[in-house]
Amino acid sequence: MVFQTIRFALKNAFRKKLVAALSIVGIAIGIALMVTLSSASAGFDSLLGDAVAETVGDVEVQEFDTQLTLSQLPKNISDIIRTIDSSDKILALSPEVVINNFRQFADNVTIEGGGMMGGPGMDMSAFALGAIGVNPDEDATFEGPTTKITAGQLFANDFEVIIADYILEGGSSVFTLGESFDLPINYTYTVPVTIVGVYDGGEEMTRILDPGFVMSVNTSLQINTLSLPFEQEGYNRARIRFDSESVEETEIYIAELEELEPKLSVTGLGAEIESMGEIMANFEIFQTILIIIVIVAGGMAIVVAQLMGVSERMKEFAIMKATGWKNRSIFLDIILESITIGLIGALVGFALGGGLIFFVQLGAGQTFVTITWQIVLQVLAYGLGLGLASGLIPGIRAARIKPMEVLRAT
Amino acid sequence: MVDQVQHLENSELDESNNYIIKAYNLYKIYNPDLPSMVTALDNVTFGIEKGKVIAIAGPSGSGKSSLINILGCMDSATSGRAIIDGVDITKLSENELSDIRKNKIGFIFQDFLLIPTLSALDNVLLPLIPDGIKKADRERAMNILEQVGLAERASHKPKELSGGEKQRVAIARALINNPSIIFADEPTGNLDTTIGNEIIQLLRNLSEKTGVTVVIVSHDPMVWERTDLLLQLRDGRITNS
Repeated sequence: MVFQTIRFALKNAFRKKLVAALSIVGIAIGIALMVTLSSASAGFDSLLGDAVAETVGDVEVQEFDTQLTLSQLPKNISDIIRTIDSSDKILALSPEVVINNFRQFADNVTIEGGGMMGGPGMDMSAFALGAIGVNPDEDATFEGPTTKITAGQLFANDFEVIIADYILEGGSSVFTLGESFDLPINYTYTVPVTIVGVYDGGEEMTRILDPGFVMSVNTSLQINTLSLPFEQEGYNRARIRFDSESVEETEIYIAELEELEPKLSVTGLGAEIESMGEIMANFEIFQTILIIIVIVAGGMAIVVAQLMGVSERMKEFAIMKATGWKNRSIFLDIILESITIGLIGALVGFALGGGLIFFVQLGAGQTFVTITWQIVLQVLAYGLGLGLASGLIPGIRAARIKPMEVLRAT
Repeated sequence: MVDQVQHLENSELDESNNYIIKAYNLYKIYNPDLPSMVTALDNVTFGIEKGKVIAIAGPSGSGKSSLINILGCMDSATSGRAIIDGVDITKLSENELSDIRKNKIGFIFQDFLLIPTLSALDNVLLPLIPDGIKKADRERAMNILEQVGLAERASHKPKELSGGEKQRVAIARALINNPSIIFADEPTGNLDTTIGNEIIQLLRNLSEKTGVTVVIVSHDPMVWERTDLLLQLRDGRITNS
């Protein structure tokens, strides 16, 4: 029964092709924006969720209220940490020395979040890398770089380092496996350091957390002592991984760490990442407002087009009424016309947004953005709702006409 | 000479069951109680027998259109009663009037009023769209188009049809619901004499064949001559002059 009315409405929806096309374009732009923003947001949420899941039990400690490079944790920090009540929950623990003021640059290195940092100039276009010193045994508890050697070997002597594979992959002219490079110290002199191994730097998305250069604790302490105004003896920080199911559970272990002596600054990585989600939530409010504004503007296009159409087709509605059409049938006809425009606009917008995302991802070589089925449903709901809402006024207007008044006037 | 429809008394109307249209003391007053008040119908009482073809004639402003609009359930009377095929239409709601228009009445207009996006066949089926169109309806529409001589033009859009053909489509549309009465408001007004005569003849033939009552509003004496009855109006009243 409704099929005939739908068929009739479809014919009428495209009676004025240019007006219909412009209405569709208006809605499509709004929907494309919605798809793009929602997909980006969903992708970020998913990424954030994964990151929280991966790091939910990860905690970093350093000397209380001190800069990381100046932080001095005692040599027996591992033993101290293992005195907490929940020490049985510690899955991994690795104290690290962070190289102070490590000024090394690589060309042709792609780091997620940093973009493509290439070119011969070291001042403007090079990417500054980091370096840490670790105990291979303790690094192994994290399955860290020292367990992922892909070429060469692990450092065995002082002033030997292993380097992340992605630094060499781009065809670096600065670093070569088996060769030395000069590490500048406070811009006054250099220390030769030999690259003895290459380790797997992991997926693109995690490279931002990767130091790039890893060496022994002894080497790192010597280098820091050369550049710092004091002799460094202890670690800068310790990484701990707890057997934790949630950020809340990790908070309990953090509280225990904060009770220790010497006093520690403790950071839960999961909680840190989760707090980024709160920033995203604020962004989503802004995003929703923006989408509503754009879509309402698109919806107005249907209202105006339909009102124009109703005014031009008064005689038709009069004859439809004269032949027995009820008010509700005419109202339904207009609503179906609007829904047709709304849904087509939504689908075109979805295709535009999807296409845009596809090409952006193709260009950037990343899969940050995610189109979820919720977004597809959202698009359909917007198209349907928009068509419905924008057909109301024209529909009521068409349904309320008095056929005789219209026919008499014409 | 065509018989004239006479002003009757209510009791005369009540006594006869032959009338498909009964109008009791119909008044139509526009802008009541205003200086611009117009009495379009002034105590009009008459009856029309089933299966007749009648013409409503009269000068402009005599109340012809007001009368046909009230009887066609498109407008309401200020007072009085109108009974169409046994139903008192003056007591019906808007929805019920729509049902009467759909089931008992067919309309034909001077300027055809076809939907430009629809084919001739779909225009004929227009009244059936809200209830859904079945295969039998489509076959019936084709039969009617054949009756009005347009079977070959069923798939054509209105812009591809001549004036006479458009009016034939409008007649077919008026017949699709198998109505008891067809109201035709100046159906030949936009047609030349030959085509106009063909249209009136077509309406006569359909009336004879199907028993439908045809009420034609027309200024044209040539049309009056070809009807069974003539209802003449002047200043909102039935007149015989």
